[in-house]
Amino acid sequence: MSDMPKDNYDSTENIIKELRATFREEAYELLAELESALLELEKNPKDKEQIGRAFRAMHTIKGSGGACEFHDIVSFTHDLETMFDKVRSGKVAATRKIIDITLLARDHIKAMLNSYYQGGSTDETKGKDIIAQLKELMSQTAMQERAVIAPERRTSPRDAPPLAKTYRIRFRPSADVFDQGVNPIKLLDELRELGPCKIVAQTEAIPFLEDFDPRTNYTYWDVILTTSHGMNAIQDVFIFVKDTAEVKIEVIDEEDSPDDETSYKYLGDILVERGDLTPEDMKKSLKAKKLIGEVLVETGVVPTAKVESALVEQQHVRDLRERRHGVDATLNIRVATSKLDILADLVGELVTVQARLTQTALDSGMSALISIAEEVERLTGAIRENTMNIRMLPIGTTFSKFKRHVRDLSAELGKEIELTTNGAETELDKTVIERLGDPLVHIIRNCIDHGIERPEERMKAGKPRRGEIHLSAVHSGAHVLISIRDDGAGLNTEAIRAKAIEKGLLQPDALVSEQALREMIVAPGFSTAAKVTGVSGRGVGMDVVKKAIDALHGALEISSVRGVGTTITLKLPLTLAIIDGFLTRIGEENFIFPLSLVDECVELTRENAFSKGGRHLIDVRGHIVPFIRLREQFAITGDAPLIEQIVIARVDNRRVGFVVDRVIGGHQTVIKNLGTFYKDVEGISGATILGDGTVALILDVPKLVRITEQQEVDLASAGG
Amino acid sequence: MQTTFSQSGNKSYITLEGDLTLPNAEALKGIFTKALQESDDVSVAIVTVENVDLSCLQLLCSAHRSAMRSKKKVTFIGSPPQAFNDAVEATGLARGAAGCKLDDGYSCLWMSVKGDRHE
Repeated sequence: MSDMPKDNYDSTENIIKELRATFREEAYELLAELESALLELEKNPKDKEQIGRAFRAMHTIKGSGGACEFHDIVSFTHDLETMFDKVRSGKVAATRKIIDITLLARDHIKAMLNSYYQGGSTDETKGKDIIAQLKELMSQTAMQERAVIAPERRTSPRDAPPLAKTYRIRFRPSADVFDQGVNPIKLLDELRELGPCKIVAQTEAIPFLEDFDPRTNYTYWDVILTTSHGMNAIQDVFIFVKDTAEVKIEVIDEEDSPDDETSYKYLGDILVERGDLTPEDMKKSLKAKKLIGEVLVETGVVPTAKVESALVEQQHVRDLRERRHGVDATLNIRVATSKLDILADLVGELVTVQARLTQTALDSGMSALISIAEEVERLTGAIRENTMNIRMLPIGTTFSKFKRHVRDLSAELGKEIELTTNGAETELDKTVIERLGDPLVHIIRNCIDHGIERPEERMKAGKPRRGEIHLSAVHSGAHVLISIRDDGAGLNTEAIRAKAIEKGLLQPDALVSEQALREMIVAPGFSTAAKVTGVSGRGVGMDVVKKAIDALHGALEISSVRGVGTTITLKLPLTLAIIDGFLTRIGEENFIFPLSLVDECVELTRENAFSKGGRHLIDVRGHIVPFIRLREQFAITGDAPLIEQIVIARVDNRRVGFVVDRVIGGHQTVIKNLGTFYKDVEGISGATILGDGTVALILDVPKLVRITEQQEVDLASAGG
Repeated sequence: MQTTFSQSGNKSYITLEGDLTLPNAEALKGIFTKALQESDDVSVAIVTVENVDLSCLQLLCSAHRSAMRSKKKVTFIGSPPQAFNDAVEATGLARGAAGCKLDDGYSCLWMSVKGDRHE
């Protein structure tokens, strides 16, 4: 590199920079894939598919890491791969201990990647320790295997079926095969029984009628067979013709091949490998500006059936590989998320400008302009919807991260817990998914620490030893409902009441419903854990969860049955960039409610409103609803109109009213941050620009309710 | 095996019924040889079949090639019965793109066999 001219050096550096940027997302995905495969393998240590998945992930990290010049990652992953190859080749069983250390190795690779992408350094000795541990463990396990398992394996070779391989078979029976009493079609049927199989008969030797001898076989076959039964099983099919027939069997694809690509060989290469085309003829044919298959058939260099047979092989292997990769690569492209963020921002601007255009067109009264504005509105709506769809990701990637959490934390606490999931394919905006990770971790930690009982307690209660945490996601209109259900002890409302009184969150003589007590677990500083553990119980977890869900314009519901379990349901908007808002006005100021929280609007009159204990209340069709005067809350000057409006919103399953001057109606709200100067303004979560260019503030409804409740508590305390 | 052979002008009609297997292959060869000598267009109706083996499938292929060489035709009338199609599939004869090099008009008998080819 030192002799390299500076320009070349710079361009190489740039290429590596670009490669690293491109690899970034994939690298973390591969680590997630590795972790997921190892956790599945733990459940079924003989699952060759998972071993293959883990191995492929390591191999790709190593390969791509090499291209990015991540030398320490390459070296470490190479050692890890070498060790893990013993598991892959069946020399060593995938024990819990081996999986533990391989998971640690995976974490170490992640730390090394983080140091490249986020700065910092990694502990080299830790990496060496991990490899040393793995080496020792492998040799111990291999010895134990030889001593204990090996004899068993000899007696039951089918114990762990080998991975599927794809074979290319050329079967050419002798001309007198019929006289031998052998029916070649039966042999082909036997091959079909071994696995998915494609068969092409080669019949170019069949003569004209005058030379045709009915007792002679003129046909041979090309077979592509995918089977896990192994070479011997295939050879057994031909056992009775082995001395007279020509049988050539080659492996052309392996399930755990480290060089597993979705593509496969070119047609010409397949024909050359088969001996149906000479390399010289291939070169000649490639010179023609046509598909090689067409050239070969047209020139008569290779018979049609041989070309077709090679195409069948190509398609068979490509299909297999694409299925293994789980995607049709041609249908997907990888785009940096930063580009999507820019696109979403631009669409936000477009929606704002479109609103101004509509407003201006309406003000002008020009029908031609109004018509154009309507068309632009329709197109903008379509662009907005499509852009938001592009940003949607399945929540399954987040779900799978928790498997490791559950595994490690339950082991640490001496509990046996299984994490099950449903609706992993449910899609949410990527920003929502990113911001959902931490709240979900807190909830799951609480389930493990406080919810699920120890195995012996569960047995005593007549429950299965192993507890279950079930994560599920489902679409519900413009929202996604995510529920976290455990089959643990359920919430102890008596303990919650006692703790709430102790913490001063509840008056000793207060009449509180069971449900209200359950919801107290999300109150700031609340914790019923007998001791503070490293897992949860610091009394901040559920409060943080509530805040995070509020910030996502979502809602949280808790239901629990003592002794049966607890379910926490999160209701989240599909996207955060643009929401359906409900525009209102107080004086000259515009305020927007998230439409998803709005139940209804009613008029505020002197007849239906009253005050009690410092609280504003209104009678809505016989139900009492507390309300908040936003004019007072935001200190807006000027007189209120004679008839005001109350927007009734639903917060934490309770209805709360907000008094405004006027209700304008629905509004496509592009959310803008308030900026650092205004980030501490309470009760406002953001802002948006209206069609006439003025700014409207987006209300943080749950926060406003909490502020008001606190003011009432302070008032009551001051009053005595 | 039961066969019928009839002729109308330049066209021959052959119906085949029963087992299309080695013991009948020689007789079948005779029928096709005669039909191609006496007409330019041979239509084959396979009515019902129970067993079909490679020898007879090779023979049909040979008859078709012989016709192609002489610019004559051998074609099926209607759809052959399922048992026949199954045998063609099992033998790996079914063709998708084109027949042999003599087949210049996409008249290969095995291209008319429908189903999941090769498998």
